[in-house]
Amino acid sequence: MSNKEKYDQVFVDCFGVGVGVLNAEFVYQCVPAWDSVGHMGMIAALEEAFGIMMETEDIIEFGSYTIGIEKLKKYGIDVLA
Amino acid sequence: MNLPFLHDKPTAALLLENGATISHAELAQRAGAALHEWQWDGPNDAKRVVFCLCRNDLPSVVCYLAALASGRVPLLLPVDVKPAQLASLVQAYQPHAVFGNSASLSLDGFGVQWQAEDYRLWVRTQDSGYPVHENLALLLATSGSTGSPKLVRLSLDNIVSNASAIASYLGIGVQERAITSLPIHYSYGLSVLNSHLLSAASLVLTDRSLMDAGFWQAIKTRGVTSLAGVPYTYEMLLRLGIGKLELGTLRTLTQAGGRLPADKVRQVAQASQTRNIRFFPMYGQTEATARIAYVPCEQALERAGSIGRAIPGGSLWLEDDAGQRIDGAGVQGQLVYAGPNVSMGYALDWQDLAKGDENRGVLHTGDLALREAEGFYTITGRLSRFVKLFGVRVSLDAVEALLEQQGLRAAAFGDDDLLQVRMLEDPKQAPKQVVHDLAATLGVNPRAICVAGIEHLPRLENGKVDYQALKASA
Repeated sequence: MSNKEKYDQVFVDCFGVGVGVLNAEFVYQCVPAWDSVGHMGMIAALEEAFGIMMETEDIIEFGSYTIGIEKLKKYGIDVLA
Repeated sequence: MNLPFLHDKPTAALLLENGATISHAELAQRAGAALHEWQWDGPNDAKRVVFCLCRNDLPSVVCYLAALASGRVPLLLPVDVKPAQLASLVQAYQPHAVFGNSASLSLDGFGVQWQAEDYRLWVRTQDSGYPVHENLALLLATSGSTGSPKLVRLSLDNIVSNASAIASYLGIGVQERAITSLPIHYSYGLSVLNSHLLSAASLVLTDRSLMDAGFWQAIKTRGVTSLAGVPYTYEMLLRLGIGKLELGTLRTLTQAGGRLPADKVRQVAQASQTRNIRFFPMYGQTEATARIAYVPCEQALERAGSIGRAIPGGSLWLEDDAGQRIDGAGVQGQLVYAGPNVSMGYALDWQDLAKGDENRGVLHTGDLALREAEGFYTITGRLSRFVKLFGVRVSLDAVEALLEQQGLRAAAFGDDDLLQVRMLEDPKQAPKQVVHDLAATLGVNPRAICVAGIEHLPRLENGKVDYQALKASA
């Protein structure tokens, strides 16, 4: 699985959405499942999928699908590669 | 208007999302003006019920205070209350008016009486009214949206005495500033609002969550001194790292709304100590307005896992199955609380609103507990079948009834923050879909629900579902 597929799969699994909606407009609280509880679940799933441990500020600032791609770069994960 | 939450002080009361600050005097003025503008009087002087669909914002707080100050009886509901739930509550309680900001709301028999920005006040076009007890001041829901219209009846004395007890043990002075980390339609969230207004302290009004950078921005820049959270809030704080967060002037953390495991209490207490923050684990129920017990912050670490002792003005004891008081140590019994904040009772429909005080100051909590030294108690179990999902009480029997309405034979059990459902396998309904539907109905995150198929439900000799067996196999 490519990084992009892994990254997308976390969103699909955590929020019960199709890959088609995953773009810059897919932001925190845009679907009921992406609330604070869902956010924690998503962070945990990303950490597991990529074997990383995210820092406080990155967890808080992870406000959208697109911002997340930027955030993961810091951990050496290039989602779009 | 004579309400102890309103003052004529020029100091800050509410700090809004848009950066504005509302003083206590201005808040009182706005509540008075609302009463004048809204013209929500009924045909006679009888008390009327008003539904207030709340956000953590100025119009919602003004509506709540105006209703309370004028002797109307507000029922506080979330702004995103499900239409079916709202309709059933309107049917059951026949409110005179509904306040909210949902433009799409359609209410038969109501007309829009007042409107400003996104907010509207719907007033019943024909209202003959009904008798409401003179001491009834506020209605709150006990649980999540399982469709039950059951409400708790509270008097002004309940609300004020609880706010005053909380302000006293937390030491809330005028300089304190809370952030609304919980919704005000939730008894714990409302107690934060009430205790701060009573003390002429201030609050930052926001609907943002801890997972929102704007929330931490507000903590840092707007002089927030305290934060209230349910167990899940503390799970999040621990994950974010209390030691790493920029907390500005924050110096008090409170926790209630369910049980935070003792090891987590220790972690929070330790991290708080290091940062010179006071941490108060607490216990309460909507049936007692909000707060029943608290652990003094200096004992949070050594008494981790305890709910603490009764709040000022209240008392706690244990009773056995026969209702006899248990005096010996080390004996489990039902936790009973007495105090001025014990609600008048429940209501199932408008007819119950004529009733007086049925509890007479004594509340059987439905929780099992052990007594410890110094009047502290530890909860050991529950008599009633419910779980708390992120602070929201959800009745397990109501969940089963909901599923039965959809033609599903299922058993519900679980722990706090995880509702478990075992359903007889049904080719038409996949467990995943049931999780999705249930989460939407209950208004909780799907992560709080685990549904699995089962060939047959284990039963006890008397034919009842064997929940112990289900729990053991989960």
